[in-house]
Amino acid sequence: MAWTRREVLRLGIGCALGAGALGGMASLATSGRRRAPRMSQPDSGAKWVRRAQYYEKLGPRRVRCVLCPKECEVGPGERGFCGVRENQDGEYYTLVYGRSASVNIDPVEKKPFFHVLPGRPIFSFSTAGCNMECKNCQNWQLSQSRPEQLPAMDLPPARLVEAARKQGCSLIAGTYAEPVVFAEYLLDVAREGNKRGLRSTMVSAGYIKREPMIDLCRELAAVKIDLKSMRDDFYRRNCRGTLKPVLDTIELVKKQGVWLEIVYLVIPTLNDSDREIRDTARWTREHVGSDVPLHFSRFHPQYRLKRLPPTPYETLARCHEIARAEGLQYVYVGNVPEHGGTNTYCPKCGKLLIRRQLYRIAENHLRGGRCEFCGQSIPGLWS
Amino acid sequence: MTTAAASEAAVRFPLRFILALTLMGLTELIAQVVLTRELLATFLGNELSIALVLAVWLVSVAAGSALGSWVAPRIAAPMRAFGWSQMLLACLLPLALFVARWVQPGDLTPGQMLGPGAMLLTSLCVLALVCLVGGFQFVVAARAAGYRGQPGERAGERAVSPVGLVYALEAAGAVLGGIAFHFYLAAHVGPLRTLAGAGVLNIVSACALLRPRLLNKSAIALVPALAAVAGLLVLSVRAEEFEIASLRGSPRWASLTVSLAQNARDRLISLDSLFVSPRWRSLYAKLPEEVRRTISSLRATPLSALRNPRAFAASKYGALIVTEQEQQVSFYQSGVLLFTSGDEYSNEVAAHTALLQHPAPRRVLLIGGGVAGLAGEMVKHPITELDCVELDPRVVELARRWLPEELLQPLSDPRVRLHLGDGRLYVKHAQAPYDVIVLNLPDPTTAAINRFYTREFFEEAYRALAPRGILAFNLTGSSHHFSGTVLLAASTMHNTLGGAFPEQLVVPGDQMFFFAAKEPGVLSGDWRRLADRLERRGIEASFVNEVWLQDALLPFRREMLLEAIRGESEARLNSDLNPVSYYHQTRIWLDQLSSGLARPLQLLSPIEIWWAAIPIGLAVVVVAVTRGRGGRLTGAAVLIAAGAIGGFGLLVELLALLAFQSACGYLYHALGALIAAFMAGLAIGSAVVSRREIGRRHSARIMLAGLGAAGLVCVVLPGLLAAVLQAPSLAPIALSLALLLVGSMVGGLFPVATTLYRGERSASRAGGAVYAADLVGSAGGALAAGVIAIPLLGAAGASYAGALLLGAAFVLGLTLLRE
Ligand SMILES: [Zn+2]
Repeated sequence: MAWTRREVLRLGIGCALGAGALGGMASLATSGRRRAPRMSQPDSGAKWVRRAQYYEKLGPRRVRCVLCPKECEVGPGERGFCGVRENQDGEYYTLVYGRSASVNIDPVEKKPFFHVLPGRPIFSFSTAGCNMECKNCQNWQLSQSRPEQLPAMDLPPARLVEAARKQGCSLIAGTYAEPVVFAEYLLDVAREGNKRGLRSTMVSAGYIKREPMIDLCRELAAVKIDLKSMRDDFYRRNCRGTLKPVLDTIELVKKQGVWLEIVYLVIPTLNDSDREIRDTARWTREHVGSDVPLHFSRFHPQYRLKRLPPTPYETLARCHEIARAEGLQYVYVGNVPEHGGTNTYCPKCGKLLIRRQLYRIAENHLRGGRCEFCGQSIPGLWS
Repeated sequence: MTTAAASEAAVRFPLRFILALTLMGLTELIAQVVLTRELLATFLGNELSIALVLAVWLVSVAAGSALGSWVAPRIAAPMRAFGWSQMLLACLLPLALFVARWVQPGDLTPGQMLGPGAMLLTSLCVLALVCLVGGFQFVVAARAAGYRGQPGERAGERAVSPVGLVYALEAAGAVLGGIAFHFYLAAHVGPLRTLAGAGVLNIVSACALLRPRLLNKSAIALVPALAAVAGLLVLSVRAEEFEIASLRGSPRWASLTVSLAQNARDRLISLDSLFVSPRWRSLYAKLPEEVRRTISSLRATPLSALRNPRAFAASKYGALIVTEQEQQVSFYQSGVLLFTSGDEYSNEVAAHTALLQHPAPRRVLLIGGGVAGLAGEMVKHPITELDCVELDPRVVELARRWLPEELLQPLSDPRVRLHLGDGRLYVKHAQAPYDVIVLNLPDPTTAAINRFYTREFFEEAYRALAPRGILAFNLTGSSHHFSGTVLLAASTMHNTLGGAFPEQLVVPGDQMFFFAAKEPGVLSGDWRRLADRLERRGIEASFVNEVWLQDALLPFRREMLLEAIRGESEARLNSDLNPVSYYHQTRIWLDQLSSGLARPLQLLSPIEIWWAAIPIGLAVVVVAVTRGRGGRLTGAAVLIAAGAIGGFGLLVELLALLAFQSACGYLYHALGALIAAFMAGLAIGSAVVSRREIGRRHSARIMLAGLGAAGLVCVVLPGLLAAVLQAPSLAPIALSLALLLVGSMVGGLFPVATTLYRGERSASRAGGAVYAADLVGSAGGALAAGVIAIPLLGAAGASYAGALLLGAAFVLGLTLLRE
């Protein structure tokens, strides 16, 4: 009755072989027809590989990325946190140069840029990957994917600029996921655009080191930075990042003379306290000036924070009030009916200069970047 | 029927024992339903999370009964042990609810979604103790049954299985519990009081069982137990008040209690502090990534979120919570945000995009969102009638009480009519034709919501529309990125809609809008035409204006989406009996959580029915290799057979519920009755079979016949389901009968399996093991069928796959004949 050792072995091997053979058949039978043809093939990814501009060698085969404050140390064959940069035999490469995973045309107000050519369309593009991971990411499909997981369009800088021109856009934005991770690509797009009269912008969380940001500022016309909170703790818990580098970037952009707007996404209960809003406004005034636009935008439940409600109107109105009281001249709040928080007013005479209805410019009383009524100069890119 | 079983049992068991056994089933069922609903209020109530909770439940009960079957032979006085276990359960029930409200990351704090790992942990925290005691109780009761209620007298080995009778009475109790809950308790009594009530019954029963001993020492031990329960009862009564009424006035003590509790909970859960010390940190770093992520997801939940719960309400469709923050009122059902008061943007977009598509909308049907403010936007159009359908009367009631006046105003417009009931059913029986039907529902994350996105529903909507009518709905999407699972879901919807309507239009955006028309040429992607209609109808909207329309309908973007949709090769059709969309939604959800489960689930997507044949092959190999020897294998074969039968029961139950909902709509009480029919079948089957004296060899034949019959049922079931969909009026009776039959098969095979497994083991021990196998099989059936097989293979495919798996159990069972 009792089994001998040999029989148990035989049984085990028999089962394993049987299962293996069946499994093999299953994968053979299904692999042929299920493989999605739209994915870019691994070998075709080679044309998007470029030597990265910002890294240091650590010994013979390891590298350290110095593009963003994460400073990933990457061994051979590995990638950095962003998933779009790879160490190939001791050299560091970006895998997304010209590899656009998303292309779109938006009204410039949607970015939001309120002091940049009101009402104009802006040609927007993005690759996969991000150097942070925010719990409320709007673009998680892009930002949390690796390049090879997404279908891509082959848009090297010249072709991208040409496409933007054909669509009638005079503005270009590196946006959606995080332009920091495709800095070389954006840089060349901006250079190419500058040659052909198209201006480039960057919509970013600002989590980048100083050198690459200075390079970008040389080519870009405007930068929008998402300031997610005034607390380092928030950055660590909700974004896998830190606060200090973001503040440094904001100051740097201003110092480099590039047009700057700041967006603060107000998430109910997470970063909406009076104190935090006041700190944000005060910091903005003290470090980059009271004429830098500060947008408070409305949170919508998504990605991993699906169970929070949208930001109440009252909260946004409160933020607006606090920031105005701190002396900021251009404070905007999005999508609050009958609030007027999307309008631009003259800081000198107080008159309404630009009335916006979502993306529609209902009135515009700017003449050559000046208030039509009192001649006050309003900062921004108006022509 | 149950009384027949009971009277039969009465010949053998004393009344208090019968009542105690019935109460055991009743308590079990009520605890299961209440605690599951409580957990789902925290989890996103999708199919995977429901199956997860169920699996945790069944597996912990199985563990309890496995433990019981190991301990039981050592218990000298099982009847007293049974009594004490009831006493213990009575204390644990309210406690489990407190744990659910208190320890789980975020009951009032719906912020972050939980991943499967955190769900598993939370479910375990809440359910483990209750389930362990429950499973243990079954084995102890089975052993006590052997004593026939006469303490001190040892039971001889009887041919009639007392375990079968215990099983029958337990099932009968579950039927009673199910009826009581579905028809009364869910809607009228809050969860705390329900559980406390069950606890009191248990204490009474325990006292009855322990009566002969009441006057000796153990009576003294009883006093603190009673005091504890009484304390919990008082607390729970206060807590109910606090939930439903007093929060409105927010008395100081209430808010103080809440903040104290939350503070303590914050501390409990913030495991972070543990990892500050270097010793712990290095240990933490050694944990696998999945475990660390689970821990950090537990800790990162913002517990202070949603500071102001305004009302809790029991509703049969799921726990409702109303919260208020800076004058914005939000409504949650089963943890899902239903709607919020300050959402003009979504309301405007949903209402105007749909009505602008029709050249002259007169009669409009709106399913969902009517009380949330959508009706107010719609009546800005020159319509003559607006029918709003809402499922849950409790939501309407709460909305009327808590929403600001200006949002409620449109509901008193003479053109607006509010209908309470299932939207699908309403569309099916709609009398006069509608110009526009607008669905404003969540994404199809569950089988119940998926019914509004199937080919059958689209065909019903087609019939309910006037000749130039249109159907409109929206899904979560993107305005600029078209790939991955979200695209797959959109593509499936596009194909499905295309099967019922000749023309459709998809507008990309964070909410993707789908429009379908009965006649070509009605829909328009030209923003100028729509802007013109907006102006001619004199609609004043804060957000939807000509620039918004121009941006939303940008041809560049629409073409990119269409191209991506056409290139999606994996897309299938979503139908009632082939509900693939909720599988897509489960995958999106897992993608969002970057859960380790996302990849395996994706790998399963090419699943084919014949995969289920693999176990048959393995079984044949096993049987062939062990030919000529009996013994060892038979025990395993019996347990596998019992598990297969358990899984079979759950598969049929799920399929019957699915078919019923498509045929007759979401009728809460009817669904409860269907489940009761299944449980009644269990009771009858096991009662009838337990009374027969069946020899071992004969039992083996019965088991094989049962497995064969179950396989046969799986083969003919798809035909039955299709027939039910053809003749909906027959559905209630046909499906109840089918479930009764299947239930009695499952119930009847239970005592047979115990007899087979018993051999040299004691009856209660065998009963415990078979019970555990039955539960594990059911849990596996729920997970495999609900999450994978039904959506990917369809109802028919899942059923055939079930037949194949039963075939494997059958082949293994052949070894039973060897003895
Ligand atoms: Zn002025």
